[in-house]
Amino acid sequence: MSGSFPWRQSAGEAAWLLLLASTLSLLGFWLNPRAPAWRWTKPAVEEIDLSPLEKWREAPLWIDARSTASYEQRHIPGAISLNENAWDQSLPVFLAAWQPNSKIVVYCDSLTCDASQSVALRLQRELKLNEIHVLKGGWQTWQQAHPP
Amino acid sequence: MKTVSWICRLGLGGVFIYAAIIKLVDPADFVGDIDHYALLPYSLALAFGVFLPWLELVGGIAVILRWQERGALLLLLSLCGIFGFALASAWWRGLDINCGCFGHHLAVFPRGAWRSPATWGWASSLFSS
Repeated sequence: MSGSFPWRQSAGEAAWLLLLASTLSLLGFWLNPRAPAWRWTKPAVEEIDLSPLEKWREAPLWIDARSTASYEQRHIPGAISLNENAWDQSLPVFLAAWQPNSKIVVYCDSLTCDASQSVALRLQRELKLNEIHVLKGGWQTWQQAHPP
Repeated sequence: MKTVSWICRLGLGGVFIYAAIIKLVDPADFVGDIDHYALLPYSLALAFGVFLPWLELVGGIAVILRWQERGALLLLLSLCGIFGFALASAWWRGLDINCGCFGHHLAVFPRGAWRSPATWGWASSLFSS
């Protein structure tokens, strides 16, 4: 690219395209019924501590949102693996186990992981499930409470 | 040479148009994908998730039609750079997330990761021709 390269012209063209894309994205955001609602903070599924959860009369349907490899190593007894990387393969297994009155608890690795929130939100969004919680502290908390 | 250039433009524009349409079908998924990189506050992830697919679509169409072509190539190169940075940082931090490159159709992180360097090379060769 030589010194005579038309950078100014390219930048001007890029600015026009940015303006066009901005206009279209605003229209799309307004008109597309599947567009997410505007909000400043991330929507979160309610987090629940392990101790009250273990007092539930009926055991919840556990969803393991960690990687399939981590699930195969060890998981909460009865848990079903459902993570975003293998969503299409795992969803039928989840649907077969799910009952209309099931309470669902999703977990991932620890306090800092985000996969359980993502999976719980996706289940809420796509399957319109309401009885869904996220285990605070995830697998780490479970392991501390149930050492091998 | 003209035919080769046309095929390159069609291929490059086509990749971006395809990626854009998949994301536009379900914008909430793409917002989630951006958010999982944990690089931006949620409000900015939402804004970028709504805006970037349209930019990919407009850029891809402009490259194919040779309309504002250099500007479009400049934008697509910048997008490849941004995506490449995000992918590299996710890999560096060991994040187990979806790449988001082609929505959830090519979801697993390493499989989609070829796109940024490959399309960057592709776009820059057209840009300098």
